[in-house]
Amino acid sequence: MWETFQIVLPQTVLAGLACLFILGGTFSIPARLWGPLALVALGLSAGALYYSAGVTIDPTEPLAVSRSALDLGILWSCLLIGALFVLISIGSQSQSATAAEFYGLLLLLLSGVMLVTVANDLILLFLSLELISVPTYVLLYLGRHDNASQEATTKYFLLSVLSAAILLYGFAFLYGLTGNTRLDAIQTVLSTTYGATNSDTPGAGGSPLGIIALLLIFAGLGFKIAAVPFHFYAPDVYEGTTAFNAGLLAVAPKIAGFVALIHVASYSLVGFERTGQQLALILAAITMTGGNCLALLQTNIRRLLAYSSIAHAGYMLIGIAAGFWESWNPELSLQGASESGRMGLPGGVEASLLYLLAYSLTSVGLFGGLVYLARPGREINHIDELTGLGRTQPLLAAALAVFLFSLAGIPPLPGFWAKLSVFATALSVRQEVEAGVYVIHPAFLWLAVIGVVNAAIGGVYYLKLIALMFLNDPLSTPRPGGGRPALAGVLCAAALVLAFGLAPRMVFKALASRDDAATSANSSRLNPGRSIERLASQSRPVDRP
Amino acid sequence: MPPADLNAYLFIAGVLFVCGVVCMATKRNAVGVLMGVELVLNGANLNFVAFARFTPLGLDGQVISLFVIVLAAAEAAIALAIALNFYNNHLTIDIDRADELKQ
Repeated sequence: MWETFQIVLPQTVLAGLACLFILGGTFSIPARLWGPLALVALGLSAGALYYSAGVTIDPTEPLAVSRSALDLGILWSCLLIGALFVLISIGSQSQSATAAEFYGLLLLLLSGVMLVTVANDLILLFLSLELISVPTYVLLYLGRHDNASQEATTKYFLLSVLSAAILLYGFAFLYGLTGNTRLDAIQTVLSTTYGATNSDTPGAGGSPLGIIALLLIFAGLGFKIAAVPFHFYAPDVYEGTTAFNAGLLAVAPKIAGFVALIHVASYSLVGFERTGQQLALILAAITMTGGNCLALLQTNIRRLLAYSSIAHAGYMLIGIAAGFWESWNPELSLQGASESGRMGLPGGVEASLLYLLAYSLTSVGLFGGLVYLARPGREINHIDELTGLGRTQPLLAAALAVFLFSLAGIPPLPGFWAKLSVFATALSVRQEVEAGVYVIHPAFLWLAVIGVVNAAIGGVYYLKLIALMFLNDPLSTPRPGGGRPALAGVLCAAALVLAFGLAPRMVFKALASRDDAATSANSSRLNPGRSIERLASQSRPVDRP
Repeated sequence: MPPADLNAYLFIAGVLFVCGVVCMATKRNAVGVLMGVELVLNGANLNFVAFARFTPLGLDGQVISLFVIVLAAAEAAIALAIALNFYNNHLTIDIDRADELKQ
């Protein structure tokens, strides 16, 4: 019981300080103090996380929280990304009358993302997803006060509430099917009923209730990660709000949505992998293609980045689809790993998380650049406003170019490593054509081909932006209103992106080390998929000629 | 008449869910759309309570529905604030009037 409190300590610290911020907003404290105070709050939360990192959970005890080594990595990344968000907003909030509320809500939202990561109970997971949504509505409202912003807020609110309700309906079926609300218990119940060893057709699922639950969970979380066909709010909302809010929407719900999807669908819904794999496969293909093709047509920078963020959700879904296949084909997955030798690249779900990290860091920087260029009441709207930025703002333009190259997947940058990992996992999926003969699964082969074609389409509009910044003469001299901290935040993000790109081994190693942690008492989830992954990693060849 | 069984409750919950979604899709009044959301949430609630009542699953379902009721109230508060603000800007709460952002 006491471990629960220790594990949620970083989140509790953040949420408690957020309440103090909102209370403090009623006193006459200078607005410029709140930004640095928010950084202090994040620092305190990081201290709490450092303290609680060593806490171990007894796997037999029924707790509402659980945390593997991988989850710990996600928590640290959340704090880092949160600090970058605070940094890029300091300048624009230094004169604002609502700075205290702004940072209070930002901290609450961040504690929601971190709670999703450790949630091991359906109701805790649902409430922490709402802890992200509710502050987002208010932040969207605080951002701008014109008609377009009102429309964006209303649209986002109604669709987000609908998606939450759909997700809850799915959870209700999951509860009815298994009789449990804890994710680890749901996993145990499902694997004894429908698991690979107890079923003639592994992964096919035995109960329509489970399939309905899976569909509804995918639909509900599809809104959060902005997957086609649940994406249509994103371009409108990004266009109708500030660059900062658009960046927040591009990162926070996506992290939470993917982490929740992995914890519920990939790890817990044992026995329904075949349905999950097909769903993720189709969603991935249409999300990538839809997002990239529509992004080509955009001239508003935030709409363009909205469609680009949709397309990236599609790449991440490839990893999810491959992860489903790995968990219902443990032996084949092992064989695939030794045959193609993934060369130390991570498995399906881990590849998605790697992509998520690369995408989040890059997006924070990219939107941070737009925040830096914007002046109060005047956002950067048309992509032509970036013309000639290489001459007028060389430092910022160089940083933005790093982010755009990374999103396009140019080799030494994180976007490339992430794309390589998800495509490699898709190509490691095998199918048995006759006894003992395995070929690459045709659906996944097509998925990888679609992915590569999409990466090329994506390259077009990212490189167009870079060409606009460096090859054209400036139309006007920009007068950035974001302040020095925003520029510092953007440069920090660029440095992190470069470091990640040049030394990807560290990140890959962190992803691989989760296997050891899964066996230790650190994780309360008894996941068969994880131990299989461990076997696979042991049988991987160390050196390839 | 035999007492209602689990399937009857699940059916009613399904009807509530569909009614809520249809209501959200067709209503033009923002408050009407919000009522649709409440129907969908209550459909899910009814499912939780019915599963808890008709199967030996303990009280978890009822507790979850209590949480959801509180959450729905919190969301209604924000929704009304957003609707009020929408009215201040547009002088109507007909959400079809909000069409500035291109589709």
